[in-house]
Amino acid sequence: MSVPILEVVDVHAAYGRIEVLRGVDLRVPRGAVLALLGPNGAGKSTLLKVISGQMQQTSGDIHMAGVHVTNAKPDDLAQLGLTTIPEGRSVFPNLTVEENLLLMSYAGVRPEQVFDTAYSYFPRLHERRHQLAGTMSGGEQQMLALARALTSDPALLLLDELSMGLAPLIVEELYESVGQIARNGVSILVVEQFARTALQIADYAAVMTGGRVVATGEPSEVEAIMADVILGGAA
Amino acid sequence: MSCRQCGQGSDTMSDGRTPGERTLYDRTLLRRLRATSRRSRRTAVGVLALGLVIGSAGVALGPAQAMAPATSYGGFSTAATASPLKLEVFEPSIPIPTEPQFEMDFSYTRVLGDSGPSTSARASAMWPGPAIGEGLKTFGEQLGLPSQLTGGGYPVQVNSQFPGDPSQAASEPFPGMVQRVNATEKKTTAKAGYTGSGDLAEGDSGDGSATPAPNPLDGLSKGDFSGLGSALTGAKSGSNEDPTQTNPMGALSMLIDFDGMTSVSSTTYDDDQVVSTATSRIGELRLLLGMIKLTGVNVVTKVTSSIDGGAKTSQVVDVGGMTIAGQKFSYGPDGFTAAGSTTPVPGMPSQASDLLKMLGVQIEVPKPVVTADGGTGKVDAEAVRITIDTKPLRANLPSLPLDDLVSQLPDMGQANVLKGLLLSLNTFAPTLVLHLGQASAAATTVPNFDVGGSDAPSAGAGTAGAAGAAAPGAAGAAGVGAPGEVPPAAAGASTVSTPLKQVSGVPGLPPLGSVPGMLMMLGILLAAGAGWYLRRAGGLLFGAGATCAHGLKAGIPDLRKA
Repeated sequence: MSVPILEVVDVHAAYGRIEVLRGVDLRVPRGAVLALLGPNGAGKSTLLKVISGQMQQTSGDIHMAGVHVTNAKPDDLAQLGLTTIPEGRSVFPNLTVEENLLLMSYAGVRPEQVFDTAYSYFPRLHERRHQLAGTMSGGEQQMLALARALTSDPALLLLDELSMGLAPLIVEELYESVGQIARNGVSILVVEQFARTALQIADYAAVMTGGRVVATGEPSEVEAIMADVILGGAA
Repeated sequence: MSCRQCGQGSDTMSDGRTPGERTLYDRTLLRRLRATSRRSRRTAVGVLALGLVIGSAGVALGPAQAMAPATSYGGFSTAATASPLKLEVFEPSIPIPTEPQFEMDFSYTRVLGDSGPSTSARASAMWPGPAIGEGLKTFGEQLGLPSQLTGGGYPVQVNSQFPGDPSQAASEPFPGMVQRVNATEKKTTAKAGYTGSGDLAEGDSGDGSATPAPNPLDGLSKGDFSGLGSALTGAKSGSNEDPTQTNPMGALSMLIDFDGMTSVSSTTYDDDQVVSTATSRIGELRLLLGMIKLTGVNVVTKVTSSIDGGAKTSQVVDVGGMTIAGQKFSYGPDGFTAAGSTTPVPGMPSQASDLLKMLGVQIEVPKPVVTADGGTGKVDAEAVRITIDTKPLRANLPSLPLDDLVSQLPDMGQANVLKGLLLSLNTFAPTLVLHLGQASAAATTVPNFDVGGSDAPSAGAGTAGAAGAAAPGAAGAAGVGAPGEVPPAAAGASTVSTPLKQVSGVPGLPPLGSVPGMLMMLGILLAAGAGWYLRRAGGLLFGAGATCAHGLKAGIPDLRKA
């Protein structure tokens, strides 16, 4: 069995005295898409923050590509291939699409290469390249966020609530793009509430409730038991 | 412009910050200072905890150190071993890596004692020596025997120990063959032999110190009939100090009692002396509660050791004799003994000796080996030693045609081992040594060990002149140097008062605050540091040097290249 690109072992994390993660165990195989599902307040976003170095776990281990990662800063992780697309897209609304993309060239990538990557995945962004990002639709903003992340050549992509506030058709379109990214060899951990959409592109799935991973397996297996799990069957 | 030193000036600084606002550099510096402070606090807490542990250990050990021994000696060691009949076989062709290759002690007893007291006793009707007796399980494993046969160790033995379990054990492998052991704080006894009374009398050690066994009928003269009733019914009550024994002959043993091949080993520990006694007897018939005793071989060795009196040894070696009302009639290595006087006897006729020698048989009446040096004493005695060398007999027998038969076996694998064994039969001529009435006793006492120097002479009131005047006994009791040793008085020495410090004579941890105590604490700290370093080094060596419990190296990987 090959070394997984991400392995979370018995991770605990808390906001103050409130413990949010209560011993999370999770593995993302190399080149696979893992859909992390679960209700609000399950600790999914907190787990992404811990993995990306934005939050310190209280105990437990995080291994990336067989290396124990401890006290790593988010920017160090980003430079070495861990890219996070946070919940709410976080684009610069008062900058144009091109300016938003141009910011990624500060990481050392040539502007031409940044534009080429972004527009090849999302041609619509080329049409809107001179438009202020804040005036675009939610789906287009999410595309911009995805494109911005892809220009950093990620090896492991953490996607948090890609579908938040978007119409189902737009969500499907976005997930088609995510599937294309995965086919190019990028490992993806996607946190999602819209289970069916995420499971369509996922290789594996896990369900989190109450700060713990309560079920893992193939997407079809998880889909069959998810309702029971989330509604308290296995939690 | 504002002043960066005093913080006074306008509300806005040159870089656009307000006076209370911190730069990124300030925040980083502050975070590092906080981290350093946290680490310092953790280190301080760790050192404090270590100090508390060591301190509490010292406090906990304090009372033990303060305990003074109730005995006049600081330590002792005793050993008593007895075996009425011991057979040794010396034959190098027997594939047992011991010397002798085979031995068997009949009615074997052994008692060991050490300071504490920590004692052990063993009794075995047939003891095959330590090689087989202790290592039967190993022999069984090597020979491929079922573990049920040898897993429980050598079966014909009982053992006891103090402190520990069992403190008392008894067994009778066959009716009349008794094995008894009993270990207490003051006395440890092992008995083995063949008797009809269920217990073996320890007997008289021969130095007049033994107290006669209580006669159950003594109470009759005082009008107490309970002893007679108990004797007739066989009812008894005992304790760990005086364990109850079964009596197959019941009240009949008052009239006729017998011991076959018996041995009794015992050690006692009093406050001022320790005694080790070993007794071997072969054949004893007692009539009328022992008023008339007929004995075959009776060997008793005894060592009494104390600080004041040193080691005193005694031994009795009787070969055939009769005792009537305490009056002994016997034959021993020094001749006939009757009415307290010994008469030498002429040696064995030379013709008979020569005849036995020609047959390879040698009979010796060994002299007891006695050593006594200060508080250490040891007596080894045996009644008769018979050595049978079978080589002269073997030389007169025709050789079996084994060589021709064995040569027919094929030269392959296991057959070569078998051939070697069969061929060795032609050279098989063991030497047999029979020891009759073997008994060995040893005892040692040592004075209290005084770590802090001399506090003697106690009667000297702190003056050197008075020290010279102290009695030798007083100096010996002080526990410094050999018993009776007195430091020489300096002629004309002035009375210089030297403050004497009372220290405990018990070995233990030195008091906290003293130089030895600090050295010990330094040693503990160094050991802890060395342990931490070795653990860390071992972890690095085996890939577990990182903080990860899963043995992975720590760091930040390049995920694109991984």
